[in-house]
Amino acid sequence: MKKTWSVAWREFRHTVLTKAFFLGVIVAPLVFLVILIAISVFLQPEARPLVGDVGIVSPGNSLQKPLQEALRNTTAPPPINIEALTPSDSPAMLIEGAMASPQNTVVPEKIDLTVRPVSESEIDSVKEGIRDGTWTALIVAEASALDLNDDSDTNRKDNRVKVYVSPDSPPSHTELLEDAARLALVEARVTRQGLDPALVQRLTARPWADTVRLIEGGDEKTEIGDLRRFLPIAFMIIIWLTTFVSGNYLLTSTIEEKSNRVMEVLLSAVSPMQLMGGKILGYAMVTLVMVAMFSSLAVAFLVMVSVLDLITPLQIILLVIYLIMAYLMVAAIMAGIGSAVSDMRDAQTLLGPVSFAVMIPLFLSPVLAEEPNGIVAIVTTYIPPLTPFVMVLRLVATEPVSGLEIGLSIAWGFMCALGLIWLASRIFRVGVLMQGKPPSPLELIRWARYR
Amino acid sequence: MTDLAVTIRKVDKNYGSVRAVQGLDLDVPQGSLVGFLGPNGAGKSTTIRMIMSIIYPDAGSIEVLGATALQAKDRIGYLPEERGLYRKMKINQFLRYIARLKGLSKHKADEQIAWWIERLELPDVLSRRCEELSKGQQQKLQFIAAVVHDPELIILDEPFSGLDPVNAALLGTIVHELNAQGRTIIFSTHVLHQAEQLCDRVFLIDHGIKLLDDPLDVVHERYNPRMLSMELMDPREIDLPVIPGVQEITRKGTCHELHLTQEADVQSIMNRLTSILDIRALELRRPTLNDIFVELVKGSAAS
Repeated sequence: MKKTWSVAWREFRHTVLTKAFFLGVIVAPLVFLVILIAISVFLQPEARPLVGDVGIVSPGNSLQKPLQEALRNTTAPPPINIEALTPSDSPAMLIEGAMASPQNTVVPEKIDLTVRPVSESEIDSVKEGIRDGTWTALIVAEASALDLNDDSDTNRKDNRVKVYVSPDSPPSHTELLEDAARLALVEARVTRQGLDPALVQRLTARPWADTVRLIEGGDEKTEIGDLRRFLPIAFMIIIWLTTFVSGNYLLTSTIEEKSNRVMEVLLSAVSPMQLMGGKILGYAMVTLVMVAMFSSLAVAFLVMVSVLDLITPLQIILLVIYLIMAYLMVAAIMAGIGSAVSDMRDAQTLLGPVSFAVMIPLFLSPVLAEEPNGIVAIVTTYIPPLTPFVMVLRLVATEPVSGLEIGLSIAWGFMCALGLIWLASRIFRVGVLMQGKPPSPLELIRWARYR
Repeated sequence: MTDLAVTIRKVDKNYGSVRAVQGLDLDVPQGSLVGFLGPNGAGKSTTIRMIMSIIYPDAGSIEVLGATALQAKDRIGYLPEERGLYRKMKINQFLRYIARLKGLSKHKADEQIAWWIERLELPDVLSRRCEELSKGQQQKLQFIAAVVHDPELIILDEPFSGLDPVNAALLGTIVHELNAQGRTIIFSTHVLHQAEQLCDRVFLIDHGIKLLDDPLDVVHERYNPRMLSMELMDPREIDLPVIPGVQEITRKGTCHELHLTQEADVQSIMNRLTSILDIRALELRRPTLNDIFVELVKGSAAS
């Protein structure tokens, strides 16, 4: 064990106490995070002014007035006053802000449009005017636009509104014009039915709904839907990222020792199993450093948005168990690949399918989140090396996973991890002394069977 | 305590269909200095790796220093043929790491490293990176890594390659010193005259099969070609009278080689030659290890 520890400590020291690790794994993500926050706080993108004349073609010129009203009422959203937020406001507002697509936050710095009625015979000349810049846009409502149709898609196409803009019109302008035109059309329809548009708008405004989950022990917990959906994926990515970065370090170190021919010197002092064990232990410590860093960021975020209770202490313990399982599986695979090849290019060829396989749970995340106890979730849980990644997604999803299944998945997962380590050790003891072209799968099987 | 440092019994090792070592038996007495010889691909490295428990035999047994190869690992020093260093690592870190792996305490490791650095004439290198050293210096560094833990058995694979004559002589002296202190030394080499100068025993394998395993003087005696080498004062063709015991005379440059029969009385033949010819030098040829090596390996290939 002393020798295994010596190997582990060297691998840890020579990975973590390097500028590359400090800059790449600690500083770079922090800088990225700071830049992301700075951009979202200080650099609100602003589109160029939306000014000029907008032509409108509508049945009986019914849309001119509501369109002018709609465009006049379109102003930039008020900035969030962080100091004025209360703890109960902040989660929803911050998450809303985080989930908003960047282009939705782009608002023209000035909107000054005049809506002018245009006859059908003038449409071509106005289009020409849009091209040469004398007109800003043209909105054409179909003759049947004000008719009451049913809601089927076919009929919707019949009463659509067309918005003609110049070739260089930015998305913020076109979206704003589209929204205003649709709003004006709805308002004109309401007026045509003899109703008060303002009253209808108030009556049909969709209220805010809170989901309150009745959790075990009689407590209630207000849920934030998007975060609920996002959290399992975030934890899976943390586990995937940290285990793969550490695994890559292990792979690189093994290949480097092979190409430096230092492997035989090491094997004269330690057994192949001690060497591989030391490497796996060393990079486990590297993983812990990375997990500690990324997890503190995640926890800081959850504390900031006052939703730390989304994760229970038991879930944290289980996440750590699945992290260890994931690391052991990935490390065994990396050690096996690293020992079998002589350079990084060959390693990448073998690594591709493995990386893709472990990404499968991420592609399946919508299915797993919706049905954490469904057939897809259960089947993929028992396919190594997917087990820990699938279980992380299932654990933090809404529907609780039974204790029996958690226990079974842990037992099965660690059994598979040990099996992979055994297989890797068989390949490792032969592969580390081999040079030249990478082995075929058949050769790997033969290596595993050598005495 | 056994008198044998290494005992190999009926060891087989195959790589797929390739039979690297076949039914190998070998005894290395403690305190001996053994030359481990063989052509490329003979199975030397495989045998050495099995002694080092880096790989394991398919059949047979290996005992090293009275224990299993794995148990004796810390009592063996090994300089592999393919030199390996962590290029970016500082020399003191590298040597300390290897010493720690060999079971030395930090304090003892530093003490040993300082002594060996001095002995191998490598001053002021400890704070430099391995890649900054010359090939010869790297070779010496590797040697230190092999002996830093004061092993009882030292296995050196091509220890002199990459060394200039001065450093080769220094290393040769150190090898002799270590052997004189009671260390058992096995070294594999292709430079047979070095083996001849250093070894007291030779071990030759080819195609994984043992061809020779004896003390050097026994080998010389067994493969004595019974040949006289003669140089005349006046180099010329000669027409000797019939001398009992002389089978054939051949000329090589300025020398004549007289091939003798097994029963020939060497002393009387030499007396007869000196009496009838004006001779500058007359020598009973001793077989070189090179001659023996070539003869045995050729014979092995033919069979």
